[in-house]
Amino acid sequence: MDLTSLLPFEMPHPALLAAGVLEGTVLAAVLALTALGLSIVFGFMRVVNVAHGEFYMLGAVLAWFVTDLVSRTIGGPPWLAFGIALMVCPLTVAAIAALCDRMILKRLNYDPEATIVATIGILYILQQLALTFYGPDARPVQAPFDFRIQLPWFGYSGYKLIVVAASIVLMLIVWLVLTRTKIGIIMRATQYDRETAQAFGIPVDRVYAGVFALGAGLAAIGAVLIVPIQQAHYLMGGEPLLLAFIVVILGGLGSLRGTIVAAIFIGLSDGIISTLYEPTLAKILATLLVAMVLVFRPQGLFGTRAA
Amino acid sequence: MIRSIVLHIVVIAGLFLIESFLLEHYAYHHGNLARILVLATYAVGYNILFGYTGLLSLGHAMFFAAGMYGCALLIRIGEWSIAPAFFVGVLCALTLGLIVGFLALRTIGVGFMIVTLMFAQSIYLTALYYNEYTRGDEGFSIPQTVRSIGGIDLTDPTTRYFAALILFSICLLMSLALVQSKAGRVLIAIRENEDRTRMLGFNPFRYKLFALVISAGMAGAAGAAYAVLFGYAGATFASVQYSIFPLLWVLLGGPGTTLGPLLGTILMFYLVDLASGSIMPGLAALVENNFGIEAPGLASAYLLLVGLALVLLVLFAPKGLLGSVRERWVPWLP
Amino acid sequence: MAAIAQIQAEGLVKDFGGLRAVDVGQFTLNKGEIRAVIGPNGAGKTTFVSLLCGRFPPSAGRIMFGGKDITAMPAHDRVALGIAYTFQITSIFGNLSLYDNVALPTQRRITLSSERSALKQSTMATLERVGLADRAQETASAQSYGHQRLLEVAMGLALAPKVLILDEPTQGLADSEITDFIALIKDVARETTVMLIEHNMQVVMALAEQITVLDGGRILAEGSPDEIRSNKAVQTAYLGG
Ligand SMILES: Nc1ncnc2c1ncn2[C@@H]1O[C@H](COP(=O)(O)OP(=O)(O)OP(=O)(O)O)[C@@H](O)[C@H]1O
Ligand SMILES: [Mg+2]
Repeated sequence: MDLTSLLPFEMPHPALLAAGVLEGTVLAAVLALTALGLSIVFGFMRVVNVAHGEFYMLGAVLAWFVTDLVSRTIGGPPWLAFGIALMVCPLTVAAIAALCDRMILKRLNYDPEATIVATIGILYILQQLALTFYGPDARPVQAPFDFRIQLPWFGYSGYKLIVVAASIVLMLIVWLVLTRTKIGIIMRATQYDRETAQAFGIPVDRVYAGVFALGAGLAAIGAVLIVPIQQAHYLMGGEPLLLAFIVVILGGLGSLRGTIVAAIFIGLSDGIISTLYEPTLAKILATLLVAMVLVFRPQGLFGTRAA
Repeated sequence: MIRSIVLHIVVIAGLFLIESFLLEHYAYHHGNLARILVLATYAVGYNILFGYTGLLSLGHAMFFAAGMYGCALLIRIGEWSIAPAFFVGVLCALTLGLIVGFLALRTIGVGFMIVTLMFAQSIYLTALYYNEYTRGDEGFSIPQTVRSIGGIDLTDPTTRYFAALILFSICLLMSLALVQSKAGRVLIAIRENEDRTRMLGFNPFRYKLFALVISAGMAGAAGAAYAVLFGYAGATFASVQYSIFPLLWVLLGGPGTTLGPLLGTILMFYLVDLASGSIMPGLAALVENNFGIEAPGLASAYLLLVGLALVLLVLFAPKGLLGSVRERWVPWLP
Repeated sequence: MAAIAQIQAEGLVKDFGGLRAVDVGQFTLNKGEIRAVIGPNGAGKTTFVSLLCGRFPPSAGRIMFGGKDITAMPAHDRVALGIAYTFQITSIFGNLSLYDNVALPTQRRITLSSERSALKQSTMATLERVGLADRAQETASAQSYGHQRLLEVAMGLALAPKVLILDEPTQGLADSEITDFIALIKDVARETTVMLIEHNMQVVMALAEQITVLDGGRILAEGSPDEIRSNKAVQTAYLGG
């Protein structure tokens, strides 16, 4: 970002391009986590969770509270506070999501239209509660590490690379859980046929609450990871929601592989474009592209039909 | 049939008669009601699509904004006079409705909701992008001097009220006529069972497009009227929030009832008004004075009520107020 | 009576994924006849008539209506041409009154210029015909299953079609209702070609002039009721030989 102001010309300088690619990679990594959460919730529950961005925001805001609390009470190095936040916040957010599922979505019988309206309501409730208790200011969270990697043209925050690595590891874990474990099998069983799954003694209600919690938790992890780079703010959920929507739709609704491919594509291009050019125009084109994909290619650009 | 027409005439006459009373004793509510009538027009349009045809759009703000900007930009930049600018504003919304309809109606259910959301988002971003003309979120005002039609000053509170009432009445009666017509019966049938309606020989696409265009036209008329009557146009009116509002108003008042949009808009307007003006600040003061809880943003968190209303409505009263009234007591309510 | 073809199908195929649900080489429905389509569960009867009325497109083949190729025509236009279909799984407007259910197809015929009373008259006449007139203002979903089936038939009748396709109309009807139904269809058949999917052999034998037997998506046999009764292949298919 700051580099843009130094080099305000249109032709991308290699340094600028490299910066764009790096920014884009970080964005892509966090976006992939967030979008994966949205995609899992849609894929397994057929719920379009409009409040997804607010779970992300909650993760960031809670991270501020937790790190603030830890540094004021226990003290210790920044990585300790951050590590605690990374454990506590996603779990808290997941619990809140499970509660929303039990109290609201389940009672609506997961009717697609009613759940969208309800999650819009949840969006406002969470956002306004964050405003209530966190206030209207944006606040930073200290990065757990502070070392820079020296590249030919400029120094680069090592923490950002850790974000990328952590996202990849997390996605691999989710992937393995979904494809290789009993939990994954149970989830897929409920996905195909709720009634039959119930008849086979699968606790469908708990699976649904779990899936919804997992989706929200992934967004929250992404947010905790990003919050040392971006500040926490109660309105920060809108942007990742939109991007995650774009990713999930381009990747093919419910397709995990497609979601990740699309996240990398969108994250990189968004990082590069907004480092180099006018971001609003890029967003206009992206939203139009999403609309057109839904109209003409509902299986997504990259997605195959299978999840 | 007759009684429903009488009912609507009575409602319109009531709105007509309270004008002077309000102006004299409650100038604040007089101004509010003029605004509510314009917004209720928007809701009436939304209801035709959502309440009667069963299509849930999450992007109606784009039609409101098309009307608003189509009209206001012509006045501001093209120096047009009010009447033709208003007309073009409505035309913009109709055209946009036609284009969006052609594309979005190829999808169903959730797909339709997201496509409309995305189109609206791109329109909103476009309004921000052409900041130079639209002044973005900040918006621009239309000077008082040009806001008149044929020598009638639209900034005068009474004139403004009646202008809003005329617009609202026209749209309300149009929606009544529509839902009691044969076309209206087809729209309701599509809402209830689209596949069956097709197999009875009706082309659902054509009817849905028709409903969408009418709905967009009314939203655009409301947007253009808002610009003209209140002298302001801004990108906020194109934002997601202004797509959610008509949904909320209609859900509250009763989807698929002609008078529900008005009722829902009045109630929600005052709920938000009270919330931002006194409820939330009051609550904040209460919390601050009596409990040790830190709640720095409570005073301004009035949208909390919007969220709560959405969740509670969809959970406990999906038919809205008038929908429940119709179900229990007044089966003939249109 | 010289037979004039009303509906013809050639090489009609419908695949659902790997499953070939319908594979009908040659099929002709003549004007004015009552045709029964029978066959075991999953034989492809519903899928076959759905192709004829356009609920979904065929994977291959051609459909002609009155000599005109309608293969690519959307369902609602076929209805306008005169093909009416009543659903096997009752598909009515549950929240609306019986009157509104039937007024909807009726208003297709009653042009805009004509009186509201004409619509009302015609709608009530149709309801009368199936014996539901006294319940016109009741909600459709509140009716018994049998009445909902009759409403389904009434909606088809209200279209005054050239061909009326009924998918298991008597399923769930009481014996007395079945007797009335047989009389009704005999009456309808005087001006309409009727194609009837039916499991109830009593109804088939009382009504059908021609019978088409489907099995595994193919036409196993076709002929008069007597021919079908004595057909070995049909007996084996039905007895599961
Ligand atoms: N939409 C569909 N998708 C996939 N398979 C289908 C679909 N509709 C029908 N089938 C399959 O096609 C075959 C024929 O079904 P069809 O409903 O036409 O049979 P049918 O003769 O009407 O049976 P029934 O007497 O039970 O009504 C069945 O194996 C069915 O499972
Ligand atoms: Mg069948």
